[in-house]
Amino acid sequence: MASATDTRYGQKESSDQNFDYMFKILIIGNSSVGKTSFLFRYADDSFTPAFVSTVGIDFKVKTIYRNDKRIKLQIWDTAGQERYRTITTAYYRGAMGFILMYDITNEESFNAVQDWSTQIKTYSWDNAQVLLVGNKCDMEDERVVSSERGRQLADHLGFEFFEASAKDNINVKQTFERLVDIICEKMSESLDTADPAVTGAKQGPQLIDQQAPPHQDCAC
Amino acid sequence: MPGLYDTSSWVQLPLEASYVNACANGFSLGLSAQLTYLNACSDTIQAMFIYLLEDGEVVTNFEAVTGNRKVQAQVQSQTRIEECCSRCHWESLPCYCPNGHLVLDPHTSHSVFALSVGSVYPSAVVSVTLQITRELQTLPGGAVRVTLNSTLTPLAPNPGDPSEHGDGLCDDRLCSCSASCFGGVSGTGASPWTLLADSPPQTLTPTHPKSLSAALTGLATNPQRYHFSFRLQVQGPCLLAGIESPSHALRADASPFAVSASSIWISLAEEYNCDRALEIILHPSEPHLPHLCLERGSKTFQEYEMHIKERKDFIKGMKKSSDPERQVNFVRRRFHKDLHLNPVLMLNFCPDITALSSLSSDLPTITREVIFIVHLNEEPCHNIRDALLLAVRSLPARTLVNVAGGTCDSRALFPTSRQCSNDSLEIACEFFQSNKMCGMSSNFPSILGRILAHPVHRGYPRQLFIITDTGFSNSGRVLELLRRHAKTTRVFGLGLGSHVCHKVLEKAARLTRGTIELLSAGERLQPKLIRSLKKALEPALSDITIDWYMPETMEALLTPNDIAPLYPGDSLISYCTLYNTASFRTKKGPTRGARGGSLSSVFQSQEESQTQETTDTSFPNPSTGMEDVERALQEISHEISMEFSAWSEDPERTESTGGDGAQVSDIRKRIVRSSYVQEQYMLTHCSVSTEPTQAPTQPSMCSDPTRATSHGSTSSESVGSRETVSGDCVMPYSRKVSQQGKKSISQSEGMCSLNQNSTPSCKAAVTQSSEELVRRKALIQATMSGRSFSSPHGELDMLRLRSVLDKVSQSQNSEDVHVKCTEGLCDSLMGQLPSPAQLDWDMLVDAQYLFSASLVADAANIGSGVSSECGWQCRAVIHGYIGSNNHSWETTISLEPLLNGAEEDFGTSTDGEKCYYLHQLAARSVIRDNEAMAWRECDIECGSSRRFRLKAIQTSKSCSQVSVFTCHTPVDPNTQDALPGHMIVRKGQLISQYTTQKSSDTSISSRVSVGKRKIRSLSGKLSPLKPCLTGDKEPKSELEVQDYLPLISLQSPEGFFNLNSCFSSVVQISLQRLLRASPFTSHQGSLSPVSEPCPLEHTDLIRGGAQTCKGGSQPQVPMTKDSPSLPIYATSCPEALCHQADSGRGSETDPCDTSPCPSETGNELDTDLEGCSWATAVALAWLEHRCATFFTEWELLAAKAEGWLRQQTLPDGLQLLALKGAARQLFLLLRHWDENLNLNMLCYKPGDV
Repeated sequence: MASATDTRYGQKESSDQNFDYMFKILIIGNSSVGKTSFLFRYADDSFTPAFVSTVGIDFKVKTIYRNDKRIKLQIWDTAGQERYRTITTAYYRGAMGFILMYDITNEESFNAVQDWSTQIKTYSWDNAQVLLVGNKCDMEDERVVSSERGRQLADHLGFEFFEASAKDNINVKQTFERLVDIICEKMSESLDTADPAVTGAKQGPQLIDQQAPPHQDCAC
Repeated sequence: MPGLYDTSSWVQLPLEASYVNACANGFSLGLSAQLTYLNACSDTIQAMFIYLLEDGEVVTNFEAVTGNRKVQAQVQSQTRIEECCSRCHWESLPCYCPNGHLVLDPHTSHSVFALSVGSVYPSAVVSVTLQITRELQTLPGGAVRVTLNSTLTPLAPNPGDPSEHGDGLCDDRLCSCSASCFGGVSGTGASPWTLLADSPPQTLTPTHPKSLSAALTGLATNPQRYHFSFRLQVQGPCLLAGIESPSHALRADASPFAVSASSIWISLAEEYNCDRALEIILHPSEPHLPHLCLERGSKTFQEYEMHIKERKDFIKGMKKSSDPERQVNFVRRRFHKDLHLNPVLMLNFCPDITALSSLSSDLPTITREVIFIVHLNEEPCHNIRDALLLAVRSLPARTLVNVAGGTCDSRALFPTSRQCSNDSLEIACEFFQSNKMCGMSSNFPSILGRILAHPVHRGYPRQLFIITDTGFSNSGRVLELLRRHAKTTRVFGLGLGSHVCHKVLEKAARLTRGTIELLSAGERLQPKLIRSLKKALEPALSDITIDWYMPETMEALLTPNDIAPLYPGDSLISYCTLYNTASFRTKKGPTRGARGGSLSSVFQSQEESQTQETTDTSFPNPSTGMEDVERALQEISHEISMEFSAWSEDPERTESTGGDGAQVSDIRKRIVRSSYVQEQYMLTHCSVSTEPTQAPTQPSMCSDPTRATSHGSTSSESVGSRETVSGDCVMPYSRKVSQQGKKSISQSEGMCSLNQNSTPSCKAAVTQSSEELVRRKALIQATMSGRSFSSPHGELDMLRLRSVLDKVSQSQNSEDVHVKCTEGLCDSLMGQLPSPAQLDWDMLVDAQYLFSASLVADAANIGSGVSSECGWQCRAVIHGYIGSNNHSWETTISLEPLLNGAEEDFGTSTDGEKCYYLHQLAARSVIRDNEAMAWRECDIECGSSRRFRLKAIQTSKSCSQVSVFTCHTPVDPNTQDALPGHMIVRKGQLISQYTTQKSSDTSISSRVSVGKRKIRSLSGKLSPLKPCLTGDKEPKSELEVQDYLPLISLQSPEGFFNLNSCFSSVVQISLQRLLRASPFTSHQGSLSPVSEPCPLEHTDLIRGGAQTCKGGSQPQVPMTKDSPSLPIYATSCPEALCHQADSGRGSETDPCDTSPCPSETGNELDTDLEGCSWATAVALAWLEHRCATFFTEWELLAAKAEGWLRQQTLPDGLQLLALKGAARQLFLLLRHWDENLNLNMLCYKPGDV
């Protein structure tokens, strides 16, 4: 668990300061579907079979290149347990992409996808992009949710669909890159409107120096 | 309605915009707010900014700009009350005198920040910048609740609601808002203030909307909507599990440059509507673990060193001699002034008390001091009397009780609170019945003052019940008093009727974290009183000590001094300011003698302290070392006390402690008088744990003849004995071992057993095993591994010291030695303790042996300048008791960042400039400590009081915070001129008003000896109670709901009932029936099968007196009865005639050997376990059957009885469930019995087994 007082954190690494866009991405889904493992596989290329339930919400940073642009991904890993569901919704806001994850060996986690989707619709903005990911596809023997069902549900919800395995490093990178692509596409559509929140490089200083509120209205 | 006001008309200036930039770090919140006001009138006005401080909130910076004029708040010494203001009377406060002085009572002045802003031109804008810090409240789940002061977010009318405009604006809105705030906390458990929210919000009807007093009360409102921008940075010591807000939609983000979520930003997701207060609940991921937060000072250690060395007074002072110790002392004396320059650690801890203890399971072991103050204007009705009786009867056996009020002029019923024995309960009950309770003493503050001046008993958190039906003559003083004691006392207010000054009660409860209950006329007091009582008895973590382990060269200023007990949901916040004295110590250190750092050398003698000015701060505090010895002793004594448990139950011992306490307190008072305690709070360094570096820098003591003599022969003796143990001591113990040792110590129980058995522990210590020695050595090693500090000082160390003193004072040693100075004390201790203990001391004292091996390494480290070893960390260990169980928690933090001298960005600071929020809170705590000490000391010694006063002022000025002795003055920063005609005056300081209070007593805590839980200890005092305390009420058998009061008055403090005639008449079941239905064979056997209800029986039994009916020894029953039954009886159960023969039964029928008058003998109870347990079960069933509707009232009583039953091993192998089943069955049968059933005709009889 990261400590706020640890100087290794909170430092502005020179490499991290240079980016053109920053995307906030959330990984959500039921408890123990493998969200943390998925993130660790992608960001650190590591995997630990031991299960440690996530309590504190943390994120990892990964910078990738797309169309000669440096895109910094801030990938937030959330706690899947029911009791944390209501207190994590504030993190949904401002996220550009979601990875909604279920466990192909766990029917219940698949059944919960609908709820999570509602959760996203309620608390995030409308053009947030969602990818449905069935994790643990290495465990074919214990599969209870067929790919077909996953794909059908994804179609129904309007999400793209992947089956992946954090353990065997299947489709992990592809998932994230696809999500970034979708976000980029969406962004270029709406870039004319110049949504300040999408252009991460400008957002940074704003977040820190912002004194005046964005609201202009007041019924005085 | 706080805000910016026109002082001529007290009309509010409208708020145009509010920008809030906050930072939450652990349990602290710092914010800077920018408020823009507009002078909408066409005249130039004199404006005053009024801000109501919430609990624990401090204004650290204030600036107002209007036009080209700036006004800042500067801290200045408190000025005297001017002539013009002295005309203001208490009753008329607050008032604004024509010369522009604001006169406030002391309580109000604590909670108000008011500053004149000067003249504001028409349609000019006033821009106010405020910096505020506060400690945050935690919720029972460990979540942290962030709220903003209402001045920053005043409520404004909704544009769609034009009717809201006007004078009476927002009244309803206020109400609905507060309800939604309190009620909306989802899933986090009820806030402690929910009860308060139920009370009618008095703020809704201000006396006059446009007056000064209206400006000083209530929530802020604004006539119009305003801009609001909000940003909160959360820098936790641990990650958040989530955030929520019952009031607004939130958004959480991280800075794009951040690499982890250790710092996140929270902002409002939707537009702010100015219609409700903002509330945010932060859920930490590790809610119940202690955490340390570090905040750098404005200087690095190196810069601070330079800063000191460049000071003129330092250069001057060091001219004579630049002895390192002198240099360090110089720094020590500047601790409270240089707080903001050095790093501060904040310890946060919210224990999960409910997981460790619960009211129901721990009821029998709960220790509290419960004091009832009755303040009634009208003749108390039965309702009140009965409720008080019930409350007193409901107290668990180990609580202390006291009662005050009525006409018994400001004196409490008992000189000190008494344990709930039968005697004390009866006295209390008599008091409630008597006329003494009627009538109101004229001077409530003095009653309260005296009660609060009673020493707080260690381990018995004080709960004060104020039962009143009227107002208080001097509410400001009452609140001020309670505020002073808020750390030790929780107040539960019970307001009866409509004349109650509920505002004061509410404030009192809020100050002390208690609750209030308000009753309308005719409402029963009992349920609400019991509800408050249950709250008062909720599990608590008390006797908290914090041990800090530091790198060796570190000095620390610990605050607060007093650590309040923690109740569920409460949190502990403690601060530690770090001062690195390495450079001062080591300049000449290595060249000094490497040996000779004996204990004596570390302490300076009293003579020297008189000649040297520096010595008052130079006392290294031996208490931490002692504490460890104490713990070791404690542990041993605990073991011994278990061995000699029979001995420890000697009733005389329990009683003798009272006398002991008085004697000890006398000694202690003298210690208090010496400079020891006064400086303790800051002189935290522990001599024994600092040796590795400190010892070499010490002038060699042994070679100094004058000093050697001043410490007497005892020290030399210990020097001699040291040689013998040195072999053992040098043995290097691994860290692991030391940790183990620590753990084993921290789990040791029985603080009280130490006090009780101090003498034998010393004697019997000889018998300790070698294993024990090893363990203790490990402990010492653990403490030696760096410096250690502990808090609180004023109290706990003294307790430890005292218990050691107890041993010493029994010897021939003259008291003067330890009274004079602490080193004398320690030396004498060394001499007086029997050899095994002495061994301890030697080991503790002479760290040379322990550390000789590593000494070189240390020196090398120091020589190389900044040591970069990995051991640069701070460890904090929290110890505390829940009930009688010791618990401890530990946390560490690396101090390494502090060593990197360069001022790198440490985390992400809020803005370009750094905000020292933790420093401000630490400074606030230091100021409070000094204020409290000044107040305490003023009775003992004027001089020391003045010193604390001075310290408070110095800290206050250096950190630009107000204290009691300072105030804010508006100053133009360009000209440094104060604005004319402005002053805020506090009237009637409490200091020196209570000369009768013995302040030393308040801190002396005698751990009152606790009666063992076994019933024997108290049963000796059991006396038959008068049949019915409410004798005037004829018990009506046909009543559907019966009065349970007569029954509960029979309950023993431990919770059981006696099976006797009195009991039978109260439950209205004849003794015969009771015995017949009893599941115990001895009871059934004691009765003749045909002795069924005859009208005579009842009276006969009464004639027999309240004698206990004993199982198997029931001769009285037949003897008082008609003779015919006797032969049958005798033949049916011959063995029951124990008068004639020894009972052939097992040990539980030994009663037969005891005297026929068992109620007077001490061991009556364990002989009549059958009777007591059966009666208790019957009583429980009776309550359930006959008084079910009053469950909330007798709940505690029943829990007590149930708790007692659960502890018993029932005879006949009976299970508790079976016993209770039998009792219920009795009540089923009773219905039919009353229908005149002849038992002989029954084909099934419960007693016929």
